[in-house]
Amino acid sequence: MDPIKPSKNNICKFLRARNPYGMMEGGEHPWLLLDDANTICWCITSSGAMGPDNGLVSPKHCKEGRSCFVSGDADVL
Amino acid sequence: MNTKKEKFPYGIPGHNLGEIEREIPIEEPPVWPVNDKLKVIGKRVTRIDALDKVTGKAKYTSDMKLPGMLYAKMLRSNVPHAVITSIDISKAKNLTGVHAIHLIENSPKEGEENTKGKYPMVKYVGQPLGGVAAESLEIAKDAIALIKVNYEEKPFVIDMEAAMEIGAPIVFDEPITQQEDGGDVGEVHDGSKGQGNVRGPSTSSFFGGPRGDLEKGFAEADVVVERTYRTQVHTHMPLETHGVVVDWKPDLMMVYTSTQNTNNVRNEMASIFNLPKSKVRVVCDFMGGGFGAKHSAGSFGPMAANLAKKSGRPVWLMLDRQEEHLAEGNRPSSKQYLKIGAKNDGTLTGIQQRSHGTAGVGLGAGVGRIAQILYSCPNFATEQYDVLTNAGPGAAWRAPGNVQGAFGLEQAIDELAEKLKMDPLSYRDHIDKSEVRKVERQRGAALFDWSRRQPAGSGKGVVKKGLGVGQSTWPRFVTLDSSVEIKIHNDGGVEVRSSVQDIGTGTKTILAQVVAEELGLQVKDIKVNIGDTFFPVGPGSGGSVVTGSITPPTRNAAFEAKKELLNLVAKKWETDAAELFISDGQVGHNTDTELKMSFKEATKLMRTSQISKTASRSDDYGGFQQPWGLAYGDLGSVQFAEVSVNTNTGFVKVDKIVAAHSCGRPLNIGQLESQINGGVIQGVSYALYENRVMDKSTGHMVNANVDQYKVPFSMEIPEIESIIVEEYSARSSTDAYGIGEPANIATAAAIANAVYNAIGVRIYEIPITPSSILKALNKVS
Amino acid sequence: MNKFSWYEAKSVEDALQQVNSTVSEELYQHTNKATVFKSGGIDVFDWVKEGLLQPEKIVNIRNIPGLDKISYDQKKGLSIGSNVTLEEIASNPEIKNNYLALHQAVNHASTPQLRNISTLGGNIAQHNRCWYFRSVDHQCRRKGGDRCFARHSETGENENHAIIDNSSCVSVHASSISTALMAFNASVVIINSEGEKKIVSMDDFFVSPAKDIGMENILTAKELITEIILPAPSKNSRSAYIKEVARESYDWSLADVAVVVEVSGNTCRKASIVLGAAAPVPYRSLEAQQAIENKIINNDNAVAAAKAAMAIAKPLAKNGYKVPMFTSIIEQAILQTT
Repeated sequence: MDPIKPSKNNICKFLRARNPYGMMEGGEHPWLLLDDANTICWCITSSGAMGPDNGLVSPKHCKEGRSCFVSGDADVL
Repeated sequence: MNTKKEKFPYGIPGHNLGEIEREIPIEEPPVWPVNDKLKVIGKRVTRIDALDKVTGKAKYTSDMKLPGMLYAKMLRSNVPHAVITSIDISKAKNLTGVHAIHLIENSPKEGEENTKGKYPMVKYVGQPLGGVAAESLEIAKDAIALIKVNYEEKPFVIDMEAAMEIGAPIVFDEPITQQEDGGDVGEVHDGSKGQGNVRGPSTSSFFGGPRGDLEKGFAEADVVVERTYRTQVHTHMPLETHGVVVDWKPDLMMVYTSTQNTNNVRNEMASIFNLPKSKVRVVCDFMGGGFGAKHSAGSFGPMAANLAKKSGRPVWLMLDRQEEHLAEGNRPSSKQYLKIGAKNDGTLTGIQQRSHGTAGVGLGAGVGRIAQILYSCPNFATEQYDVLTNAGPGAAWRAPGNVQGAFGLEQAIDELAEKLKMDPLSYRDHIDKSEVRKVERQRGAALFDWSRRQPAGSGKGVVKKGLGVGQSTWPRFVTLDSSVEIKIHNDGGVEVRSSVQDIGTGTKTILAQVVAEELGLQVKDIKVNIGDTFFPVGPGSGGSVVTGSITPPTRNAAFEAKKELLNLVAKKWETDAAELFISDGQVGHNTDTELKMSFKEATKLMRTSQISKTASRSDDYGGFQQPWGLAYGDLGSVQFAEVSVNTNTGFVKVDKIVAAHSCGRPLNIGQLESQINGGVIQGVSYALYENRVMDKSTGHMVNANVDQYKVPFSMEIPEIESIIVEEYSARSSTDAYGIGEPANIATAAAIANAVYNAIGVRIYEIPITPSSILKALNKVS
Repeated sequence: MNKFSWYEAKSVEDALQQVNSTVSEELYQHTNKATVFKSGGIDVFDWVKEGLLQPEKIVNIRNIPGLDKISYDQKKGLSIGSNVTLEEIASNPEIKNNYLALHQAVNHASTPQLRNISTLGGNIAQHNRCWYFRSVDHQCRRKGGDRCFARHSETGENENHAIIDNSSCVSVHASSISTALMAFNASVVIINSEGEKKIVSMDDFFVSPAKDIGMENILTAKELITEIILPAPSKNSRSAYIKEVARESYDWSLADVAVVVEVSGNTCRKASIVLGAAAPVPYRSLEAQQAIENKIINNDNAVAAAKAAMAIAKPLAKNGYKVPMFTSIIEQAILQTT
């Protein structure tokens, strides 16, 4: 079985998630979008399970088009 | 890649131990024999920081005291759902001793208008809204009490089943639609009406999606068990609360924190404050427990940093017990429907699972994958739904999902065995293909004396004894981003460095053991400096990954450092380095026994003052199941429970647990037993005591303390006997894995099965209380 | 925690000059100007820490001389000073020999650590543990509000609450030691600021919320408990105490009972049966007493007495289990006296 690893998924850079096999950080790069029934997600901008737009935080929701989305490309350093 | 072929021990000593040949990279160290033939590994080595811990010398985050440091307290919501119309900080600001106040505000992106209001919406009681830093914690608390938050309150929902109803208050403004992740089980048939607070179903995992044909499976079944199981919300209750001390210097943000993931806290703080990772340093020297809830910088980390920035001083921010219960994670609840079919000969024909759970305002309330993988069954499907409610978010909690899932599955399997007129233990022999659990069942049954078990409810007298069993499986996860540096100094000192933290399980000690074994030294000769992100990146303490991820590179780095040292000795002795070894602190020669030099003397041959070698986790020997680090094999366990139930008062006492576990090559027997004890105690507590009680009319948790939130004390803890089964699978240079999560999975199920055996009536919901026993016995009118 | 001043009382008179409120009154009225007593401090500081009580001054009565004696006389009975610790009672051999149920109740109360600090006066005057009453976010009737959150049939979390006399506040009294004291017909000696002394039987010491929602006992601001006295046990008296809890190590009572009987042969001549955690105040079960008096103490009669006690129970939505639990422990406690 091939893990679900899209080559470019464009998830907001401020999304974090944790499930039994590890920590995931948002951004351009592939995520282990497996077993989301046990994946806990949070937004590091709003420090919680709710995004800065008061919406739900999840890899499915924290995508381009959402008002608070910040691309992984955005190199703000 | 240059490779070599080596023969490894393979299998279970006393059962089927043999050898296997694997082709491995040439640079990997030579094979370790079984533990019997090693000096330090697999022994009962005293925790290297035991004395520091019991004497109070160990400094935890809350012990940090820095010059000029301020104490902070967070402002939290006391309503479950609201729009904040205003926050008045004028009185707090003027309180003597207050240095900084920071409120969490919606900050629109540059050039955009803020349409969402000044402050985030409140979605649960205890949600962080801001913080105050003051000269003392007392002043900070007084200042918090002076802040006036004005709310425009909104309807809310606390109860999971109420949240699934049409017309229920909606937790998130835009209702969550189901099946958006492409659930492939077909239509939703759970009565949750399609939209609102329900998200899902999640139907697949890295073990695949649905398999076979359920309808066909149940048609083939001679016996079917169909039940609904319920589990409560369980908070983490680490002895040490969440917290942080942030010292933001001009060129470095220094963060002391109680975390199970120094690396992730560093990365979060760097992202949030737009700093390079090189300018954030996270240190966690000692850790008072996390159980899955301490992987993030949370809201307290950035809050302390913001307050440090505003005040120009270091800021201490530790949460209190109430904040822990309300806002720092929990094991979500579950309501699990399970249908299992079997033929008369016991062969499983179908397993169907449908679960709902609430992680409050967060996701992740699935019931894990234990029903999918513990027993082979050709026809399987699961649908797991998250139900959003106005309560604090869940967090990973020691074997996320699987503990809930095991409570249902292992009771259903017991019930199936009874219908098939088979002993529940023999029935598991029949349907469980795992070799290690077979050994665990045998050894466990002998120690526990399973043969005492009587038919359910057959005991005479008021207090009835019951015996039960439960099983578990946990995948072997490996974090590939795991690195270690070994330094040998020219005074004979040896140092281990990694950012990996010791969550309290004894990681420091096993690293010292691995290096001592490899270098032929004693554990006391090794200094372990970990939990600091200035050192090579280590794994987070979650998923039971640490031992399997960090001990192989530790051994490999020590091996590389040893090679370099022995080369120096070989040069001096004018011999071949391959002939040299270190044992009992002495360098020796395989054939020329005259040649001898102490390790310390050998380190004086170095041209530089130290040898430094860094190694990272290599791929498993023979590869992974999944290239990202899902290893072959599993971490199986079988736990046996003996209970007494007073059928007049409903009082349940767990008398004894026998816990048989495997974790590959065991590294430190005492520490493993200690972890098993901890997992079992938490399992007893989950089965009988702990329960987050929420008032549905106010949205408040009414037992957010340690008085009414019931955790076990000494008399609630049963006699615990552990059996650790050595299992060699030749997958890495240490072949060792963790045990943290496996220790906690099967306990509640084993207790529930034992309670059934005692009273002859099954309890489908935890915690099992006097009330639930008396109800089950039809004694409550 | 608010700032408060501290006063170290040198004598009973001195203490009574200082104080101006009971904790109950202040919890009900919220003046933030109260001066209250503190003995062991276990209960008072909980209220202060939770932010529910913001006293102006705390008067420490713990070190007042003369309130820390236990004395026993075969004829006069037992006197326990209000500052005697629970540990001192638990380890007193005369109490164990003559008032077994009290010894058992004290040994099952709290934890060893807290028993070293808690005083008997503080124990009987402590406030109930209803989690709504103890929550700063729930303005219940005992705190001057207009709701009882616990009694609500759908949302009330009332598994620990009252099954008897629960038409007003549904809390249960927290002192399980009082269950035993009342069964031994103990009295409370109270002194007021005028120096007047009164002796009040335990049966009259506690105040039902139906009578006054703002009080848990009859103490008013200018009064102090100095001792608790128990009559001498008759030669043929026997006693037993049983407490049911969720956790054995340390927990609040779910149901407890103290039985004191006077027997001749196997026959119960006189019975004193008190239930704890059944009602807002320790509850003397006249029903059970009548059912067992002048009967042989045997299984059938014990069961009948237990059932008589529970015939008046009106459980709430989540505490129906207390009825069979009480039935069982009343029966057992009666039988244990033989």
